[in-house]
Amino acid sequence: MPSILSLQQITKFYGALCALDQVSFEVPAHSIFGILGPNGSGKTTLLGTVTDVLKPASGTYRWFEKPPDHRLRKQIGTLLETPNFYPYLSAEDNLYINAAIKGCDRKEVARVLRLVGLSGRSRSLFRTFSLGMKQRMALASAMLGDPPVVVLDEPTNGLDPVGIADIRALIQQMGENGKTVIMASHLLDEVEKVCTHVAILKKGKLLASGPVSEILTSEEVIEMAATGMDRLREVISAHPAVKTARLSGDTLQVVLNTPVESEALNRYCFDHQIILSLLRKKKKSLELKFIELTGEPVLKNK
Amino acid sequence: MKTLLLLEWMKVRKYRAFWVFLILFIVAIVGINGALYSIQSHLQTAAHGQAHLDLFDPPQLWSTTAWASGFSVLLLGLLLIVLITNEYTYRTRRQQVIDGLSRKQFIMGKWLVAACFLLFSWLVYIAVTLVLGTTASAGGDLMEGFGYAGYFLLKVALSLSVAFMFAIWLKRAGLAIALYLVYVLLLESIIGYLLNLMIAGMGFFLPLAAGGKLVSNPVSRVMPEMDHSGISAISLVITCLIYLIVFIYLSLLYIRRADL
Repeated sequence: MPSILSLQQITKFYGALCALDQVSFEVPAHSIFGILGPNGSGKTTLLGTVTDVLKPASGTYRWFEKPPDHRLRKQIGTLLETPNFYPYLSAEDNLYINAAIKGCDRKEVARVLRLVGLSGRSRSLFRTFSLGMKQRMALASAMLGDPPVVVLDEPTNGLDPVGIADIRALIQQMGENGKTVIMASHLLDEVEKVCTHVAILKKGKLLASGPVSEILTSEEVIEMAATGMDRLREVISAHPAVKTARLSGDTLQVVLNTPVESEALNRYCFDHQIILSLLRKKKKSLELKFIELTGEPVLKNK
Repeated sequence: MKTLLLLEWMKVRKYRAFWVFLILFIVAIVGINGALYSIQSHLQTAAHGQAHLDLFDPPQLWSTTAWASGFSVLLLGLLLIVLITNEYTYRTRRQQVIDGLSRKQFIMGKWLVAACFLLFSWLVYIAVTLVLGTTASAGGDLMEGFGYAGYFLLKVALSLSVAFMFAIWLKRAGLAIALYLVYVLLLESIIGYLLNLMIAGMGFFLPLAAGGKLVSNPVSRVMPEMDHSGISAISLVITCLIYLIVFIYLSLLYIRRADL
């Protein structure tokens, strides 16, 4: 499958801070590609780099398998970080400017405003808009000229629950219509619900990328408890098959490298003078997977 | 280029500050020239026709109005700063590059605005001069001394391009306007004075001084002994052109490398 966007070893510094560290991945055509990562992981920097507003220290990228050129960007609808419009112009006057740059018909403006539910406010000045309306307008701008590729940075930021559902439906619809959507999000749930592919960033490093079904698979977790949890954790961490063991509430959440039978684990504990009060296999939640990938625990564990 | 001009027009046509500044500019240019004319009339009346002041007679006419009109160009410089820094404040320069303008096109659009201001101020200057010339002069060929209109163009171009550099360098309207005013009204004179102490005449090769010297004040022409720099007009013209080329080149260099 042809790639819409490919990044090779993109590195970017802000002063001494390394915002992107040799990031490389490919966005296949017709995918809904999520860039997932906690705040400050480099998502916006990454999108800013491939839209030429930020200059990388090293590395290259290609759109549509061609070297970067401003004319290629006319085929890409982009919402980056915040809606950027002239506050003293109306919604439609602002979008006429965007349409003129993209070289698309002025009639497009009315269509995209209708799409995001702002038709009634097309003559209102941008500065009178609420945060949610500004975000909708930025989405409208990204859809001007019906581009084959749409880049969205935190598209549901500032929207109410109905707005969020609307936007997600819109993104999925774009995917069904064969468009490629690249979206950055810090919400695992959003990426899981909407995206077909994902790249996970943490502190500027790419942790993983590929189809959502491969990257965000749920794996088995073994839940354990005993009197003397610290001792249990110590003992079980020493087991060669154990990958991670972390305390979560009253239980110890154990992830294994290789499958081990419950009986064997029970015997192992018993041999180390621990009597388990709980031993249960369960599916690992995506949240836990995300935390494991990014190492950003929601709750502070010991 | 037509698209770039159209884009800039779409940005300003409903921007109130744009129209306010343009009207202020016209009021200022008419006001300053008118005031100078009325001072001359008063002086002549006071002298009971014994003296004849020829500020508005050709060939002095073009030079006098060029000098007097020069002050109002400050307003266009400020407007240019506002229009450029707005693109930073509203982050629209970012959006326009994202939407498919090249970085070079973005900056060239702004130079086109500066060029339009230049042409506009030139036309207003010519109109004011012709009106004053027909009403005030004692006769003679009105177009005599029209060469000063060329110097005026250079002076305004320099003023606007210095404003341009302050705007893209400082990015924030308040700061850029403040420093521009300090530079125009104070700092360049001080630097020029210090340079002149080191090498006589060096101070006239600063950007605004080079343009300003070409259309220097009428008193220095009435009393030539005041002007003892001995710098030829042609060296000033070349200095101006070099500054313009360097400023445009620097702005392109900056926009090619900067994070927007």
